[in-house]
Amino acid sequence: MGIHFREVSHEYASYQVGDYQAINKITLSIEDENEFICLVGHTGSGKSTLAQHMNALIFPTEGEVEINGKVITKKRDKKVNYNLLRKHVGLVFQFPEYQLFEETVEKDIMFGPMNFKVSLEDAKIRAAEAIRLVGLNESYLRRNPFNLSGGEKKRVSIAGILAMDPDILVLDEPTSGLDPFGKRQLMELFQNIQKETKKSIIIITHDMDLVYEFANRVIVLNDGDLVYDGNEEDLFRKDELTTWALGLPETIKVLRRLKEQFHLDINPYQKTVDLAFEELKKVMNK
Amino acid sequence: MKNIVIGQFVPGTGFFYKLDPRTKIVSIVFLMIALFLLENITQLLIAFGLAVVMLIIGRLSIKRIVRGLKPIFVLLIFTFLFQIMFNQEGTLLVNQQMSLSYTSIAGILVITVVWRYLAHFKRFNFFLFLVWVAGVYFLLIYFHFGPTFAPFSLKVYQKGVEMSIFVVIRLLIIITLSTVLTITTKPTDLTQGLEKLLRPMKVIGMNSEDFALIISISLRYIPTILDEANKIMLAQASRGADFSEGKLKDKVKQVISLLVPMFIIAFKRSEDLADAMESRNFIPGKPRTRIYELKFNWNDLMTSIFTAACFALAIVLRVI
Amino acid sequence: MSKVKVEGLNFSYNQKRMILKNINLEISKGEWVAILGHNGSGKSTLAKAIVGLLEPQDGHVYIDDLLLTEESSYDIRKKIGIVFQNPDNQFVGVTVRDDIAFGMENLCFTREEMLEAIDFFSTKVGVDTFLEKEPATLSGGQKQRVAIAGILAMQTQIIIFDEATSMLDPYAREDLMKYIKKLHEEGLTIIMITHDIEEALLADRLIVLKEGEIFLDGTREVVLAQADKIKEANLELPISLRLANLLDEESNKDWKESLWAYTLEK
Repeated sequence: MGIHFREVSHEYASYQVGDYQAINKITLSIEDENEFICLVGHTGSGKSTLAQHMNALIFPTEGEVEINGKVITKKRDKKVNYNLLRKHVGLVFQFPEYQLFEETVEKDIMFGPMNFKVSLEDAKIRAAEAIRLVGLNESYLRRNPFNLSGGEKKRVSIAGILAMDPDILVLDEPTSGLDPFGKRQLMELFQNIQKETKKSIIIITHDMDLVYEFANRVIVLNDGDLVYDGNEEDLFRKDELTTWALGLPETIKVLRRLKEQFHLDINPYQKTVDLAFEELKKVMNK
Repeated sequence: MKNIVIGQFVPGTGFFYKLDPRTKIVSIVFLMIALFLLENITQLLIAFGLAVVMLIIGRLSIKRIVRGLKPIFVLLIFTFLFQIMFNQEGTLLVNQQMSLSYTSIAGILVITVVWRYLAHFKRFNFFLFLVWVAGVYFLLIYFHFGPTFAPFSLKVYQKGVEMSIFVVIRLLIIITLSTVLTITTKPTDLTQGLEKLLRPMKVIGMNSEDFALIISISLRYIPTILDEANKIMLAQASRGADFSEGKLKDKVKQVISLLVPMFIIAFKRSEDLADAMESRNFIPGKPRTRIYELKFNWNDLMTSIFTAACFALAIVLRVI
Repeated sequence: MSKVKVEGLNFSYNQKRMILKNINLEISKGEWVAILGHNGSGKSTLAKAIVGLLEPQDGHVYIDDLLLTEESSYDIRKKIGIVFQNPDNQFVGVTVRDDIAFGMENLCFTREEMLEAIDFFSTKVGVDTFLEKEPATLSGGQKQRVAIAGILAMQTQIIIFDEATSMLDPYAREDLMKYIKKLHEEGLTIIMITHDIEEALLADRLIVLKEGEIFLDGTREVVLAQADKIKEANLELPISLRLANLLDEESNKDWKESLWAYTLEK
């Protein structure tokens, strides 16, 4: 199962401008458990387009996408229930305002599962479970989603997709607009979800610090092409980072600076401040 | 989604593009009134000829105008048939006996099925339609083997045909005139033209400047709102909202899941926009200058004289 | 003469919770001040109060020594402009040219004056190549620039940026910050509201709001050195400083200095 892209291209009609980026002949496979992938690339590199193929919101103009065993090509196949595929691959968009609409948080979270024929009682149980998974108190269930802060709305929108119990979770910039604590909290949340449920998680982000700290696989898109698919350690040692419009994580930059200025024998590739400190301790007091 | 051009405005050069929008609006109103004053089909045909000449002078693509007629094509056909069937004055032109029978009904069903099947070849749509009509016609007259029932006669009268042609041509001219207006006038110019023309409404308390601003802001946000609607649909589709299937109850929920976010976003937008406008010193009702000015020129004068002449002529012809 | 002076400002939306409590601050001509705070600390409310979009329960705001009242707000808004967070929700005009003209139209500039200003400021800001374009075809960064052009065209000398980069992608954000730096170099007074401490580092002076009150107010060096207080205000220091704070004062003095230099050289 999982998601398999085979030479997938997607071209938009020429009159469309803005968010409509093409992707070219992309081949990649995503398993339906235990993956923690960060999808990165400059604005316009095709990340959102790629993500929207993963739950059959859009179809390839060339090539095929296989989701949960079903093959999707540019032609609409009457035998395939595309809607059902969205139960297996849950896509959370960047702005919760496009998603929240019910009077209570509970009802909103229940919308997803009930669209997939989950009973009212089961949906309620799932909502309670989902709200716990995103780190919010059960009392939030009775609140009006529009009275929540930005960070809380984000979590509710994620809970709404979690309640559908997808095997694969795709999130488009889930940490944007959050303060540094919020960002870290959310990423740790995803790690916990993965440990607890074994679901595969794909996160689209621009934040290289988070990518380095949390990802175990990174996919890089550049101008619609897949240019890197591997682990996070190798990625930040590549020379092509600037061509791909990617920056270095701050910890690496800072340690490199110290290393060059003071000729220290340290490995600058550390993921957190604490690890960086540990590395520096090795060469202290000399 | 983003390929929707606001209104039907198509940039170009030519006579009509040089006119002040006020001239165009007022002229079209008067020309339409003049049109309705005409009673005679010959007069109408002359008017139609004038309209075509106008298009040629203005270097407007006739193809584009015809394309603009496509949506109301059915209406035109309907109007035509309506007049023919129900107008029973004048001399009888056609008196055709027709009746229903099992065989003719069966025949009609067969050719209908064939027609729909062949309709996949979109290019011959209109031709196939005509063939189908002809088929029904002949079947109803001749294709009777066995008992017939419900005999009726299809009667077409001269006046009916005349009125049909009259009404259809008048409709065509009206649509051509309004299409000329929308194709050659930017929506913002149209709004500003209306604004200036409606100035006198201040007497009854309506501020035409504010009204015009409301319209231009609405126009500006149409593509933005369409884009958001699309994004909301994608987000809700990701939660299993299948906008094509479902019982009525489900469909209602799906529509709500689309409308509520749109409204919420719209309310936030109006709050933010009001702040932004206020911070840039906008005060409703306070006089402001404009970067775009409407200026009359010789073309406007010529057009006004032409319109006045047509209008006067129409009155004279009516009175005589 | 101070450019912006706030005295004893108290503000609340509903009498139950005070959003701003006893705010006192003075900003001089040409200063670049960053106002930092966690979400809900009252930053945006303060920005709106300074331009008169909100009326405080107590306190006064002076712009160029002119007291902000309902009557004087018209004149005050000629001196101070504000760029908001959502690039789409502040774009009024049907085209770029229309939008830049909007403020000037409200101030009754003549047509010639407006055309000249649009020509000058659109070039300055870098939007002169697409004056006829509609907002739906522009990126967020481009829309923010158009907003800046519209404000500059009114001859304003003070600009408030209310989280103006938070809806932009990192590249557009960097671009906009570079442009703000340029404006500052030309002598404009800049007030930047943000929750991103990395952005705030570009300013000369940092003001930290905590629960509606001014918690810290000083130069970058002074404010950033107070690590405990920064944490108390629910903000996080940049990684370079967090590392520096883990290092021992005496034995690693030069490392610490290097990290500080790295932080401030942006």
